[in-house]
Amino acid sequence: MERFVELRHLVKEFKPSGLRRLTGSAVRAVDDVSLTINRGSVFGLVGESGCGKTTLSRSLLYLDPPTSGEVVVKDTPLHTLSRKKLREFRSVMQIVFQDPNGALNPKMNIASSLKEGLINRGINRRERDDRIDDLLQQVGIAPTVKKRYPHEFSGGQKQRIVVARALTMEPEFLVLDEPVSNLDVSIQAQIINLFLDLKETFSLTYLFISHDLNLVSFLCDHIAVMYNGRIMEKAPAEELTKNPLHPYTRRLYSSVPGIHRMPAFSEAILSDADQRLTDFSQSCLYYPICPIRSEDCLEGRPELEDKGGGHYVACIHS
Amino acid sequence: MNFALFFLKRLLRLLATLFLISTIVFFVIRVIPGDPALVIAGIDASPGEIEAIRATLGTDKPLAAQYFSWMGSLLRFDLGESLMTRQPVMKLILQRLPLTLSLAFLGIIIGMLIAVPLGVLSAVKRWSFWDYFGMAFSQAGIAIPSFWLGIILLLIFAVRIPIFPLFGSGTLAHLILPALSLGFARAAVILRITRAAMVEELGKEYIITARAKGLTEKLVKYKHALKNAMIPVITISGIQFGYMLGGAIIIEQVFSLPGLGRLFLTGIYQRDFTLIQGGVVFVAAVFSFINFLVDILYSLLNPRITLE
Amino acid sequence: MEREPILTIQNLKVSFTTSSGSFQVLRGISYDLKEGEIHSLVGESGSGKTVTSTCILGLLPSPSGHIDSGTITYRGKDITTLRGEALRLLRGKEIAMVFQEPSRYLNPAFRIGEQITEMLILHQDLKKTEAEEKTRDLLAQVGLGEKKDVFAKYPHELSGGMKQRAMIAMAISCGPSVLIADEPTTALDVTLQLQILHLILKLKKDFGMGVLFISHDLGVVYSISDRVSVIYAGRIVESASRDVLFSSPLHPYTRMLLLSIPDARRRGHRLKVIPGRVPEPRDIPPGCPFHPRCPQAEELCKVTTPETRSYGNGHSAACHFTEKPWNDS
Repeated sequence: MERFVELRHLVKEFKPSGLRRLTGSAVRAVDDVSLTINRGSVFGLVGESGCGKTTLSRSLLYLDPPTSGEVVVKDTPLHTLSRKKLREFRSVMQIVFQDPNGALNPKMNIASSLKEGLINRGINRRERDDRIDDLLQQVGIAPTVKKRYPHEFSGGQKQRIVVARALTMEPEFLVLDEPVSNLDVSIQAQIINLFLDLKETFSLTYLFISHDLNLVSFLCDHIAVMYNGRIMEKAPAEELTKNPLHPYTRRLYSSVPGIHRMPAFSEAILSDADQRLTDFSQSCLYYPICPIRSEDCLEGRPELEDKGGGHYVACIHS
Repeated sequence: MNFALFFLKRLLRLLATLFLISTIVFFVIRVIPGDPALVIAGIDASPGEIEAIRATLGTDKPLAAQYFSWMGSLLRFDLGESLMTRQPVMKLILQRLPLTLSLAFLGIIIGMLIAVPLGVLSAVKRWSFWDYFGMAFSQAGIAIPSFWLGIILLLIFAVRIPIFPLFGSGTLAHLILPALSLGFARAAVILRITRAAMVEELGKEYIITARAKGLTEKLVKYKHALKNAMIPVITISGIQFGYMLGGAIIIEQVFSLPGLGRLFLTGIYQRDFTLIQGGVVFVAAVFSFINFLVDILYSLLNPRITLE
Repeated sequence: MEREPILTIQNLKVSFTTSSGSFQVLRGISYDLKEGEIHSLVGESGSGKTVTSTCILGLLPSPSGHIDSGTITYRGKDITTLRGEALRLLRGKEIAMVFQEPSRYLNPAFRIGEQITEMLILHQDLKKTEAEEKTRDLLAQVGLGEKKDVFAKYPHELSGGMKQRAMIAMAISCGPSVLIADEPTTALDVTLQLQILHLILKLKKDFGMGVLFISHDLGVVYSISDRVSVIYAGRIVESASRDVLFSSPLHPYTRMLLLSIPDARRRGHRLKVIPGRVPEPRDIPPGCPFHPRCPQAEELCKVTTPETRSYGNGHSAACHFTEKPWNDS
C-alpha cells in the first residue's frame, strides 16, 4: 500500500509563558509519535480532551511545526521544503474542525467563501461558478442557496459547506477534527455518510480525530489511541475492536455507554499519599490510574511493541 | 499560579515601567536639540550664568555619569532642585500632593456613588424611567466639560446660594464643588460600564442556576450578578482615577486650589526644567502605581485572573 | 402496586414570542415522573427537550417564553401558575437542576463552598457553620472529599468532571424529590461521563429521587433510564420502559434513531440515516410532523396528526401505522 503521510518521532513542546519560563519546564503535548497513514485509508486518532490529538494534527499540517521529528508527505519531508513549496504542499492537505460556526465568515455568503480558494488557485470566473455549484451539489447543498449567509443554515448544513470549501483546494488528504461532535445523532449519520461518499468520489485519505470510539471503530481502517501525548496502542480497526490490549484502550471501550450495555465502573486511582511518594519521571504515563500496574511500570516509558498483524501496544503487561 | 507569585509579577512590571519612564524622561530632556541651559537662561545670559545653570542641571558632566546620578537620586526619591525656588522638587510636590490626591479621591468616590447604583438600577430595570434618566445623565456627563461645570457650580452654589466657599482651601467644603465637577464626567463613563456589565452578567447561565437554586431575586442580582459586574467597573474606575490627576490641573485653576496642577502649570510658565522633569516622573509613577493597585484589586475580585 | 407520580406534566404548550412573531415549541406534551425513577427525554436539538425542563421551575427566558396551556402538577398541586415566593420555595428545595456545562452554570466569582452553603442557609435555616459542615459532607458524597478541599476552590480551579460533581452536590443539597438533569454529561469525556452516570444512579438509589434526564445520546439514555420518552417537534412521539423502547420500538423516528448509531460490525457500509432534519418550531409541517422524513408515510400522515395510542405496559406511540411491518433496509 502506498504511504501518504508518515510521522517519525514527532515531538511538540510548548514553552510556558511569562515568569514561569524561568521555573517551569516545557510541556510535551505530543511525545514521540510515529505513525503511517496509507493512501485511501481512514486513520482514526482517539483520545480524551487534552491528550494532544489536535496538537498532533496541527503539527502534521505544519500549521504549528513540530519541535522535533519529521512529517513526511508523499515521500517528501516537509522540513526540507521552502516556504513557497510548503504552501503548495499544504494545499493538498485540508482540515475540517468541530465547530463550523468558527470556520465560516459570517459576513460572507457561502459562494464567496468557496470562491476564495478557487481564486487563489487561479481558476477563471466561469469555471469557478461551475466548480462551486458542483461542489455544493456533492456535499448535498442545493446550489440555488449559494448566495445565502452562514446563519441561514443549520449546523449540519454549515459543516457540509465547510467540507465543500475544503474540497475547493482539490485536496488529497483531509484532517477531520471531531467533525460531527457538535451535531445531532441523525445529522451525524448523514455527515458520516457524506465523508464515506466523498472519499470514493475524490479518492481522499482521512485522518479522523475523535473521542467517540464507537464512531471511530465503525469508520476507520486503522486506529491509534492517544493518552497524554503518547500513542498507547495502534492496530487495524477490526483487530483493535476485537482485541484491545492496552488497559487504557480497554477502559475507553468499556466507558462508552452502548445500547444494551451499561459499563461497569472501576477505578484504580493512586491515593494522594502514593502520588506524592512515587517518582513518575520515568514511569508509564498511565501508571497513576492503571488497574494492572506493577513496580516494573515505574522503570521506564514503554515503547510500542509489535504484537503481530500490525498491532502495536505500549504496555509491558500486555 | 498563586497570589504571591502574581503579586510579585505585577510588582516587577511596575518597577520595570518606572525604570523605563525615568530613562525616557532623562533622554528626552537631553536629546531635544539645543542646550536646555541656553533655553532656560535666555538670549541675554552671560556664559557664567549658563555654566551655573549647566552645573545645576548636571549637563556639564558626561552623559553616562549624568544618567547614573539621575537614576541614583531617583532611588533616593530625590528629584533635584527647582531652578526657580531652589527648593527640592520632591518637597514641593509633597506639599501640594495631599490636596490633589484628596480632590481626585473625592471625585472618584462621588463619581462611583452616583454611577454604580444608577448603573445597576438601569440594568435591573431596563427601559424604565431610571434607565432613561441614567442614559440622559451619562450623555450630559460626557458632553459637558468639567471646567464649565465647575464655573456653573461656583456661580450657583457659591455666588447665588452661598453654601460653599467661593475660593480658598483647607477644608472639606472647599473640595466638594471641584470634586463634583471632576467626578461628574467620570460618573458618566462608569455608569455606562456598570450598566453594560450588569446587563451582560444577568444574561449569563449561572444566573439561571442561581434562580434554580431558589435564591431570592435580591441575592441573584445584588450578590451573584453584581460581584461579577464589579470586575470591569473597578478596572475602569481605577483608570479614571489616573485621568483625574490630569483633569485636576484645570479644575484647580478654576477653583484656585494650590494643588499639583497649579504647581506644574507655574513650572511650565517659568520654564522650571527640573520641576517639570520631576513632575512628569512623579505623575507617571503615581499613574503606574494606581494601575498596579487596580490589578491587585481586580485579581482579588476575579479569581480567574491569577491563572493567566 | 404502581407508585404515584410526583411530577405530572399534562398537555403542556409553551410558546416563544420574538420580534419576528410567536411560535410554539412545546405542542402538547404529557409525561410523568415517579419517585426513585429515572425518566429520560430523548431528542435532537430543536425538538424542545430543554424547554421541557426549564419551564417546570418557571425558568423560561423572560419575557419571550410563556406557558400557553396545560398543567405541571407536583405532589398533587398545580405549580404552573406559581409566582414569586411560592415558586422560589420550590426551586432547589423540592425540584433541583443540573445543567450541561458546569463551567458556565457555576458562578465564577464565588468559591464552590459558598455557592452551596448559601442555598442551605436560605432553604434549611441553618447557621453558617452548620451549613458549611453539611456542604463538606455533600462534597464528600459526590466524591469530592475534604482532602482535595474543593470547598475553598473557585470553579475554574476544578476539572470539568469535578465541576459537574460540585454542581450535583449543590443540586442535592436540600434533599429535593426531583432532579432535572439537562445533558449533564455531554460536555465530559467518556470516562468522566461514566463516573457521573454512576453517581446519579447511586444518588437515585440512596435518596429515592425522581430524575428527569434529558439527553440526545441513546447510549447514555440506555445506561441510566428506567423509562424513556422520545420527543420530536415539541411532542412526545413514543414512550416506554427502557427495555421495551430499545428492543421493540414502534415509532419510525425511534426505530431510525436506533439504526443510525454507528456499529463497528458494519464497517465499510454507509450508515442508516434519517433524511432531512428536525423542523424549526416556526414551520412544523401539518399532519404528523415526522412525515417528510418518514419512509413509511402515507397520504393520511400528511393531513392528520396521529393521536398518542397506548400499547399496554405503559408503552405509547403517536403513529398511524405502528402495525405496518417495518423494513429495516
